Amino acid sequence: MAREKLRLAFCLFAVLAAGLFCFAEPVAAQSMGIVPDARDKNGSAPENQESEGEFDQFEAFEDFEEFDQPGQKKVYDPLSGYNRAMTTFNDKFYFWVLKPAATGYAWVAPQPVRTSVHRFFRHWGYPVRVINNLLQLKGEPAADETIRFAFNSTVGLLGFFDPAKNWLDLEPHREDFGQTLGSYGVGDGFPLVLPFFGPSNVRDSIAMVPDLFLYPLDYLGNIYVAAGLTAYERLNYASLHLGEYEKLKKDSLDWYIFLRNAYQQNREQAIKE
Amino acid sequence: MKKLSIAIVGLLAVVMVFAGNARVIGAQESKSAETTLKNNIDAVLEILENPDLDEQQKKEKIEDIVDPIFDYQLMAMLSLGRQNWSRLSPDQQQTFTNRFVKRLKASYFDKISMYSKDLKTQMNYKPAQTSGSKVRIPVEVNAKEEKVNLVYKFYQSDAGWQIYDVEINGVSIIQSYRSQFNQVLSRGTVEDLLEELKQPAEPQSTQ
Repeated sequence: MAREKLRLAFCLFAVLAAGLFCFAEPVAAQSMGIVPDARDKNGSAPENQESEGEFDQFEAFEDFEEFDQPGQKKVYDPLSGYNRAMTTFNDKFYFWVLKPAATGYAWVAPQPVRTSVHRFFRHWGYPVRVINNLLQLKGEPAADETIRFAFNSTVGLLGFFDPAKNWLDLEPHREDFGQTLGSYGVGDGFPLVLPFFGPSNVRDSIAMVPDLFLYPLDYLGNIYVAAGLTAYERLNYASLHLGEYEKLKKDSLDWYIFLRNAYQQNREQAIKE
Repeated sequence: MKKLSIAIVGLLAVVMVFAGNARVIGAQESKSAETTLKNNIDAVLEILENPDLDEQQKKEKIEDIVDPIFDYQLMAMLSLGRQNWSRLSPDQQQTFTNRFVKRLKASYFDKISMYSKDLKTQMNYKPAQTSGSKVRIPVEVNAKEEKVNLVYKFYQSDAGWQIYDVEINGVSIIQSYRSQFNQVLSRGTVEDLLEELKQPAEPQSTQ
């Protein structure tokens, strides 16, 4: 089982790694601001401009240039066709499979139980978190995580409970290999929507592989057991967040773009921290 | 992504009132911005938790509180961006702003209904960061097992401190709308965009 997994992982890694290094350059160019210049409008704006009373439109844009950099950046999305299709697939999967299952499960299992299950799965993400914190030279968060793990494993009964947070006031410090790579300057490549997992990018997708090896629950049985556990974890999570997906989707004009953009912003923030 | 929604709950639960007429300059102002923020969040939460009001009344009261602090006009413009905004005629700009604001408010009130005392939400106000004439106030919202990081971005307007953007776990509302508007405009016309905005955000159960 370990060998199978290794082989699969290696192939995946090799293929995607090749892709990543090919695309790292355009991303670098992109982030250096090689972008259609919106500022050309400066010249023509006064003609379109109407004095809006108290509001000087021209000035407004000048004062809020913080939105110009990333906002105007043309996102390099070579697989947009595939990404959109996969987004639709994931969407259908949610409404036809995940949501009904999660709703049924939520009806049967009391919420405190499901919250504990969530905590349990999160607890065993410790190796991933501590190692990636260390790789990013974040000593204190790594120490916090270790105390949390030790405390919650014992007092928290293998992680079903989180006394480390409630009594010791220690928060988890989520890090993963994608963030580690990002913090060392590895570009995200381009957006890539994964089946079931949702929006991602080349770097973060490849980075999932090493993190997989660090997840203890994957070693409990064969690859089917691991997949089953992941599926259960997702089902449980969905049951705790019913209704949110629909609400977010309702607000968007272009759901795919919303997801792509939100994922990107969220990751950039996570990497910066 | 689902976490985003809890974040939005927190966000909307945390909508604040800004009866700001602070005219002091600099660090003192950001301090006063923080205090007013806290006071007003409390005021809004009070309304949300009031058992004597029905949904509609809560909506109206909260809207009264919220309207003065959010600079909707500015948010509408920023969400389009300079290039796209100047592509619109003044009439279109007006229509766009109206529909955008309507959508924004509808989205808020929809999420706000998800707020409940049961969530045992706890707000942690972090130190404000001033940069130039703008203030960023981070608020950490703790609800059950989730933690959401909000950032309220204020600027000094003629009407006092007003919000021009909110970030939820690093995702800026303005940026989010901007990327979507860019997409619509790159594929279609301004009229297409206005048309899309017109459609009330309907729950899409299958699609």
